[in-house]
Amino acid sequence: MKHSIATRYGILLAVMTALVGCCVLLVNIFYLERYAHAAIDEGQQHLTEAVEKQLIRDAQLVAESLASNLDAAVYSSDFSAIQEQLEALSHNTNVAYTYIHDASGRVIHDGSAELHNFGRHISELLPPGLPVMLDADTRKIGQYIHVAQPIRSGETTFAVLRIAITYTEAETDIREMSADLALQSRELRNNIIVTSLSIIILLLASAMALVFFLSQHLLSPIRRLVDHCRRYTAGENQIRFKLERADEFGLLGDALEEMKDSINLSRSQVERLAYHDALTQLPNRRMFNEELNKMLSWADRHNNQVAVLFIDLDHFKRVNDVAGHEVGDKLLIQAANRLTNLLVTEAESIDFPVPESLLLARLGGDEFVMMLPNCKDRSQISRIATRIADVLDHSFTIEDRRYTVSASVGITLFPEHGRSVTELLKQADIAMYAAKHSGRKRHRFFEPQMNNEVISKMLIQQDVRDAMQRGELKLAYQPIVDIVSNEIIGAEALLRWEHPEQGPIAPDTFIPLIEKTDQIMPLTLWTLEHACHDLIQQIIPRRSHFKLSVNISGAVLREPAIQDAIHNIIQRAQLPAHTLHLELTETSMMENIQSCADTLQAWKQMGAAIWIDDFGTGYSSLSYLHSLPIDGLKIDRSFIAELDQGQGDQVIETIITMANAMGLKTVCEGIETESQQHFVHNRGGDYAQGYLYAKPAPLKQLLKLLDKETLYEPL
Amino acid sequence: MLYRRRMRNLIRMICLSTLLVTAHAAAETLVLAQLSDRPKKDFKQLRPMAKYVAQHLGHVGITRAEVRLFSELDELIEAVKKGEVHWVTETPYSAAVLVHEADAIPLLMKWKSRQQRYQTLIYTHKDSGLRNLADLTGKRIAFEHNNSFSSYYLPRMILEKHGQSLNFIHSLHAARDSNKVNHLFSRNEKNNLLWVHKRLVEAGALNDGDWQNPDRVPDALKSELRIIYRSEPYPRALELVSSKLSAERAAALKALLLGMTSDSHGKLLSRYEQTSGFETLNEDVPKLLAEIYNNSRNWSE
Repeated sequence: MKHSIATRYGILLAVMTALVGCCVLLVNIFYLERYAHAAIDEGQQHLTEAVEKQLIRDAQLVAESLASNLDAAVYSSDFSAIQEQLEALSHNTNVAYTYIHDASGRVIHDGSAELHNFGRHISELLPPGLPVMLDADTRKIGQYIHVAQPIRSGETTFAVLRIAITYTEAETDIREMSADLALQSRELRNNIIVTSLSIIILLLASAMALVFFLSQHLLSPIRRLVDHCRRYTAGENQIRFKLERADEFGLLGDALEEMKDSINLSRSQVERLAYHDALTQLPNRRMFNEELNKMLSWADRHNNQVAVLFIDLDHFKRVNDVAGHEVGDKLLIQAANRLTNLLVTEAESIDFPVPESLLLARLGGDEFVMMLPNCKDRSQISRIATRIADVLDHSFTIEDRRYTVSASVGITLFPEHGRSVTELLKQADIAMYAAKHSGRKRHRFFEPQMNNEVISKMLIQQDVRDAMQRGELKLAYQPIVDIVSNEIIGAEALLRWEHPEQGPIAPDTFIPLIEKTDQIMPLTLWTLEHACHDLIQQIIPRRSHFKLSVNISGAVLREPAIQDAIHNIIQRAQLPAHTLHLELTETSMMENIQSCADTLQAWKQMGAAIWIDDFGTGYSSLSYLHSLPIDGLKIDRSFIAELDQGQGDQVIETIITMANAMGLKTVCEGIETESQQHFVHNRGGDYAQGYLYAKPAPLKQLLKLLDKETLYEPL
Repeated sequence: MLYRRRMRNLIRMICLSTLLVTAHAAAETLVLAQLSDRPKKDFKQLRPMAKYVAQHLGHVGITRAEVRLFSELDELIEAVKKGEVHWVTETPYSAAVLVHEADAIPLLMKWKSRQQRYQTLIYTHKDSGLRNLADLTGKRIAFEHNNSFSSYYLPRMILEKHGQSLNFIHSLHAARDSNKVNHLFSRNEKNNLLWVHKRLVEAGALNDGDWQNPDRVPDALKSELRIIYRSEPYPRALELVSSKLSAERAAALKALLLGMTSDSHGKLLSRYEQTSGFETLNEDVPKLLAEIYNNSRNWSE
């Protein structure tokens, strides 16, 4: 690590070591130099003094020794003996002179072979200031030590030996010695520098070693904690931060451990939120997807079969609409509990090593999904699916009221039907869809052809909204004629869907699909609005009493908002009275006759006429007609079609008779032949509609027809 | 002084030990001897000749040679007498004593210090006014030492022949006899010269060899001195043998020495006291030796 603490402290330590080392070195050198100078100077002085003293002693000793040896020779004037004695001294360059003189001061010997100074007075030869006397005497004059040593015979001094010794040589020696000392001191200084630098380098190396030690040992807990933090971040939940140490690292470890526990707790809560449905506490879609994914991998490896059961509550929407979402939610909770209990019971019957793998999840709304691993055969799954349908078929008691829903179950199998989670869920959904369409409280195994059917149905459901916005939906108008005069008295607005990919889609195909979705309301309103627009803008100017029929899906009658919505449209259009005919199917009105009657009454008051569409296919009971504000009946085309086969004439006759009796008008739909026309005409039918007169066609066609036709008086 | 005494003792010890050793092999070892007050120098001078002689006298049974130095003449005499010393090389006075007191036999004359013969010179300081031997009455004359032929025996003999009687005084400080020539010993030629030059004494005696040698008598000094008497020439030195040495061996030695010339053995001879050759004796030599001995016997000191 470039900027690790160890590196920083290491650099600091190294710099400090080098700094202190250098300071010590400099101070050492400074004092050493001073000491060396002082020592050399003082030493030289002491040495000079010592050497001087020694020289004096030596000179005295030599003089004494010589004098004691010379007594006989001097006494007997044995010059050669004297010379032999003095010769050694005379030849020494440090000896300036050697003289022997008698008591009167006359020179006896001067050390030379020829005694040049013999007989001269000694005072002539000695330097000035040196007294001539017979006593022993030592004096330093200039560079010389002058020694006088009496030569005695008994107590009598009869001659004096005089020598002078220079200490020039000694001084030279001392100077050389001092120079040597200075040299040695320089060498010592250099040695100290080298040694100190070595020590500094050693210290630096130690500092480095210390840093290495620090980074290796002292900081290892930190690195361990860092490593643990990273691993924890990477997802290792079971990691332990506690270091079991009493120091600060230990405290840090404890703190991190506490933080980990806190994070783990938060994480588990978040996970619970992320992976569970807040309402039912069941696993949610995300968890189910992940678990299923894991299970598929496992099953793939072990050649095992997994079943996915897609459960959808039938009629749940109605509960929500009628009783409110709170009740709906409580119903969902109860449903979830029932399914969970079922699962617990069924877990025992499924031979699987991990019971938790029998997973129940809520995907959203009224959709639940169940994962069953290790299923042996379809019969076992069928049995479970049947039980699911059964447990949900019992009524739910919520706030003292009973609600009934049922369940449709779609089943898909791994690996038979699909290999991926998405695929399996989609297929289960499709199978569920198929089950729902085949009647409530059913279950279906996925079959490949379901795919296309359901997909196209689903596509239609999904696309209808876009179709309205993109203008793919159009209105076609099929004229309704007076059966006696053959005049066009009105038309039925029919929805046409020009799908950009699938081409024209028949209303019979898509409207039942849309009726199952919440799109039926906007679609109904769209149709009504457009029809009203065409009527007021194009048709009324041509035929002031034109009667335009618009189908109102029975599905929208359940929507409380429909009454006002249609009311508003009629009001906005400001239609003349009796020009708008609203057609409703028999069945849709029968579900809740009272509320339906109120709604129809309201519309009727706005000036709309109410017609029953496809009459005769529903309850076939006419009694309810009295309780509804109905203006007329449209006899279902199936009865007209049966006329050619010699059937249906009774039914048509009865309906027309009854309608006439009740003051209701009738329209016969699906008139395609003249014989059909005659039949209806003969039986007293009022109006007819069918290919014999005109096919459904765009507004322009209708307008053309109207323009061509002579104006008729209103009915 | 002390050193010299010690050296002398050391030499004595060496000599004694060699004597003990040689007692058994007297026949084989030839001993060469001399009086010496400078044993170190003299040993060096004699040793090569002794070695050479030993190497060349094998035919007469001599296989080794030794050098012995004596500080006193009496000791030498005793040794020669006993036959402990076979061969002596000395100046005429010592030779005379040895011949007469130790029965030594003169063998050859030796041209020592490159002199075949030498003279004694009696000299005074020029300032002294002393011009002949007669002027020396009551004066002092310095001789070298009492073993010296040229600087004691001969000058004394000369003085006495010239009618002077001599009075020995111990030192320069001693009282002198005004009717005699007072003589004293200067111990060596250097003192002799300086005493005269520095006027401690009135006269001195040196041989002509020393006089001619500027190292011994520097010209500066010489110019201030006056020679007042020159003696006859005398043999410079003599080779003697003990009478105990067999005639055969003596003859062999004589023949060997005579065979050496400066040309044939220049280096060896030169080391042998700067000898330039040997000369057979003439009849005057015994006479001279007898005269020297007889005269010296009359001297009391």
